[in-house]
Amino acid sequence: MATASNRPFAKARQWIRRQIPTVLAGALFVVAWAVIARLINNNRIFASISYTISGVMEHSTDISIKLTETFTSVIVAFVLAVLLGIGLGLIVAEISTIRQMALPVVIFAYAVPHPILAPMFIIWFIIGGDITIFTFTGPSAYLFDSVTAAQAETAIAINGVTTFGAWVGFFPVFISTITGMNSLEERFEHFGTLLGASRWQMVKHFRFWRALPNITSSIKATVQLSIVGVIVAEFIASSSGIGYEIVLAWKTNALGYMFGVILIIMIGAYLFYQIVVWTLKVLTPPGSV
Amino acid sequence: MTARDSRTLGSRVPGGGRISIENSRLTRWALSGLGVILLLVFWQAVATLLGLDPQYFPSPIDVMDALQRTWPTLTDALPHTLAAAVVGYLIALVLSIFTAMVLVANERLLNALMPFIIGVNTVPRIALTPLVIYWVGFISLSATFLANYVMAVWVAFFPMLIAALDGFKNIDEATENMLAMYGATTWQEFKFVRLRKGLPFIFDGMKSGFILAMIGTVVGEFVSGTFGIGSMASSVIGQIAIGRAIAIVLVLGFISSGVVFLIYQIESQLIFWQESSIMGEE
Repeated sequence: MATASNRPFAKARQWIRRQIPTVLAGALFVVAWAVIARLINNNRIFASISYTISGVMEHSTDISIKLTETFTSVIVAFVLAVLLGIGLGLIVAEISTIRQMALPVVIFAYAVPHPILAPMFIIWFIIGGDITIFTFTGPSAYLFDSVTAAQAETAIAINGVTTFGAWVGFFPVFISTITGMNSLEERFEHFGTLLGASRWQMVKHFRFWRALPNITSSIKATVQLSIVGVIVAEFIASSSGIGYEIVLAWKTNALGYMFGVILIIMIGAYLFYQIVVWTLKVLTPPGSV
Repeated sequence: MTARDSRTLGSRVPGGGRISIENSRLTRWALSGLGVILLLVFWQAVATLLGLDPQYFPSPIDVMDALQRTWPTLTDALPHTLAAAVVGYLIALVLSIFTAMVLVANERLLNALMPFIIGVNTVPRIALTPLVIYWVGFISLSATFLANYVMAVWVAFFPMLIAALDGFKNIDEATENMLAMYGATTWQEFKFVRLRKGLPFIFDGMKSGFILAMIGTVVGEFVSGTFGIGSMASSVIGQIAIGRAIAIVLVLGFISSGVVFLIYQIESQLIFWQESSIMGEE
């Protein structure tokens, strides 16, 4: 049974081998950054690595607080987008009259460059007020002595930023749920009829599972889109989140800080994506991711 | 033209086919139209019956009003935004196809750059907007609007590049062997096989690419505040004018769905060997 004991080891080795290109690309990126910074040699045009690090260190508490805020919003937006996308997708896919009636609106909503909608979402929540589900003390209060619990308080809320993020992320899930549900093979259709399955049973036992691979792949796209949505909304909804911090860094000409914040967003987005993919792999049956 | 006429004629013949294609298409169009009308009626009814404040919850008629009032400013701002989006889009399109051709021709280069391309494609590129504006402003402060062009290229380029790469690589082994046997040069490979095989993919990339170029431009205008639709929309927040916000969304939405529809039309004319879809591949 040597193979059985070797398996986790082989798996780990395989995993490491798959990470090599990513790690290499990352290393190349750092080297390129250092070389370009050395060539330009002006921190006002292109921040060097050390200047970026010092810029980040200077604002470390701000970044930590805002980062928690942004990624909490991203998670709320992501969850809303996935739940609404699958839910509405199931309904629209099942009832073809509604599907046909909603088609022009869906195409229109898909083709609108979504940032233009952000002001609408933000104004509505300025008028109506945010719906806060609950608040918690963010990790910044534990990480930094200078941060009080009140400063680090983060809210899980439905507000302009999160609803806009959800709107942006909603479409891929919605559309691929419909596509997936409608591409059930005819033989299964016949099989279901033969067994006397009701409409709901067809959905529950056949169509949903046919749509699952489509849904999971669209969820991967939604990860990035909900981050984009949240950051764009933060650009214009002043004073919230990491998106506003970049704008602030731009306005104060703090290039090192700007580089640092952008880099942190990129890394955060990458990690969030990996976590979602891993979670999907664990939660769904094999072969659907 | 004649083909369509004969088909419609054929469907009128008693007993000629069960349900004609044209007929069911008519019902589909009717249903779609009905959906839009129902939505508008419902919206108007809710706004009127509940007596909602037109400043916060405008009815469709209020939106039309706001559209009429902002129309002069809107027509002033539109050319700026559209120029940035269209020019950026075209640059990104040409650049992406050209880069994809070079990369597919040099497989080693492609393998080396692939993790980088995938990496850039999966991070939120839009977060770089302030940095782009900063850099463009550094070159020339009076030309900050150029940042919107750069953003359009930057946001639209990578998805279109990946679509073109997927398209050019979309040939099966038998074809590949055949090309090798005939001793086809790289250029001949592209001319006879890859360009044609890649076309559906490129068109899919083009449809989402245009929307992305618009997104890049609009966000650029949000942040930099240069005159355009984006800055108009973000200034609405301070004035709390929902009616105007919706009017702007409608105008931009019609333009961009119009362009997507146009690309779809060209696609279905050009690609006769397979069915095209208006939404493209997500």
